[in-house]
Amino acid sequence: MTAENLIYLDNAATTPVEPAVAEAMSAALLPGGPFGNPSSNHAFGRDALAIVETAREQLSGLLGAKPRELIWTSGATESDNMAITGAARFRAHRGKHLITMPVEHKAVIDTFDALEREGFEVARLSPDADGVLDLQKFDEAIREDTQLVSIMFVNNETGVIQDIESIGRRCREQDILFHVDAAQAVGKVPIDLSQMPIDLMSLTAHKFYGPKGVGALYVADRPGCQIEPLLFGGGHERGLRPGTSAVHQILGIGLAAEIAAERMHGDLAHIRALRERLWSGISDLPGLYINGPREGGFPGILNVSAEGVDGESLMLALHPVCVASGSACNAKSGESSYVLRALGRDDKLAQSAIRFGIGRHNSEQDIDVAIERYRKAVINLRDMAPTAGTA
Amino acid sequence: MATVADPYNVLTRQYFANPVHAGDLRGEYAISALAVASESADGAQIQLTAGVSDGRLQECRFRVYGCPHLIAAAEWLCSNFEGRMASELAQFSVDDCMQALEVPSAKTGRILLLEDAIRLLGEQIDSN
Repeated sequence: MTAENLIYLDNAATTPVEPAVAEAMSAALLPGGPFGNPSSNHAFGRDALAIVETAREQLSGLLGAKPRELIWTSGATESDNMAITGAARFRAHRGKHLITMPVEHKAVIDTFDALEREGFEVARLSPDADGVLDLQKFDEAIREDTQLVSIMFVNNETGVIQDIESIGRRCREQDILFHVDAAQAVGKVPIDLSQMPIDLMSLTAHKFYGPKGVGALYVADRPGCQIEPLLFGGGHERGLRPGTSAVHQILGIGLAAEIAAERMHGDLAHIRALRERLWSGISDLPGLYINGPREGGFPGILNVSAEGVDGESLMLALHPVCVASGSACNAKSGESSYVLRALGRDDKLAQSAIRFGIGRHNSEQDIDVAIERYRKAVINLRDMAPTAGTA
Repeated sequence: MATVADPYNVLTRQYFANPVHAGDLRGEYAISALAVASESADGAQIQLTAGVSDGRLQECRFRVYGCPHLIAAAEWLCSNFEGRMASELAQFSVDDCMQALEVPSAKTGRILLLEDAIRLLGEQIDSN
């Protein structure tokens, strides 16, 4: 399906499944594989249950969590919905004030919008120009009736890493539940939930070389950290997520987590070097702006705006390099990224943004092609721009 | 297996990749006309120039800030009208252009922008 000469630099959108993961999942689906229902009380069921629980141990090992703190879901969107809505409703009798940011993923933003329609009050704290939450502003936003805070770990468009430790500590001190959308962080940056003040955390396998369609919600095993279920139909997953477990998918996320734990430090060093190579190769072009931190963010994401260049044309001109544009999430409407606009970028600059998503399988050669194509595209498109004023 | 259409057809990709009419007039002509049209919504802008002698469009050039479809449409226009009589610019059809390039209907505004520029260009030529 995919031409061999294409270069994939959109690893923040999704990652290819690691071959060892794909092989193990395929084998699990073949005749003789563990097709049983994990809830069944016979040998087939026990075989399947063993896979599900092994995967829970593998993922908990990556995160420093207890296995029972992980609830299997279909992915981060479901986990976000479950955590935010479930926590808000569970604590509604104590208060209805919630805090988040306008740079969150749509799975979080839309969930808070829905809660607002239910009668909750939502404070949306704008980031500073680098995309970071101002902790003083955060402190000022907290009220006596604040019950839930949801802040993402790594921003999916800019790679900004929030100060999760400080935000979580403040929440703990005031008995506020703290949810973290860590879809872009898990398997890529170190996370130790045994030490971090996080109550609820969403993740998905396909961002760390696992399969699509499976994720997890971390629910801290501590007093007061409870959520209402959104789905009903059995006692699976601590009564929070009923339905027969997708055994082969869960096998895949578990193995991907184990591989991520082994490779994380090497992967980080590799993509950090590639990001540096990429930025060094284009940064002398005039009128370029990094959206997000120059340093200190997640190195797998480099988001760059270029003055005087249309983003859609730039993206097409980058062929065979596959990236995301500043309007990727709103391609049909042509709207520029709400995340970049929240950082203070005007529409034109936001629209010109290209997000390079660097992954473990990218090479220096990939980056060199991206540099060559980006330079040529920016120069050519600027050369083509009108020189006269509007008649 | 279902197929998902490429948002850019072959002709659009060809014109976008090789816009031979991009830039400014190279020759000198009895009439050199220039027209610019822009869209306030997203800042798309098109500049058309034409060199006219004996009523004929001897040379057509364009400059664009905008999406691949607008660039391809401008190249399509120049390729199709260069060498024809200037009066024939009035025959430009938004529908024909959109059909040839399979421009999504959501982008009709972009092609209407080109139509605006053509109208202004025609007025410039006529006024000379």
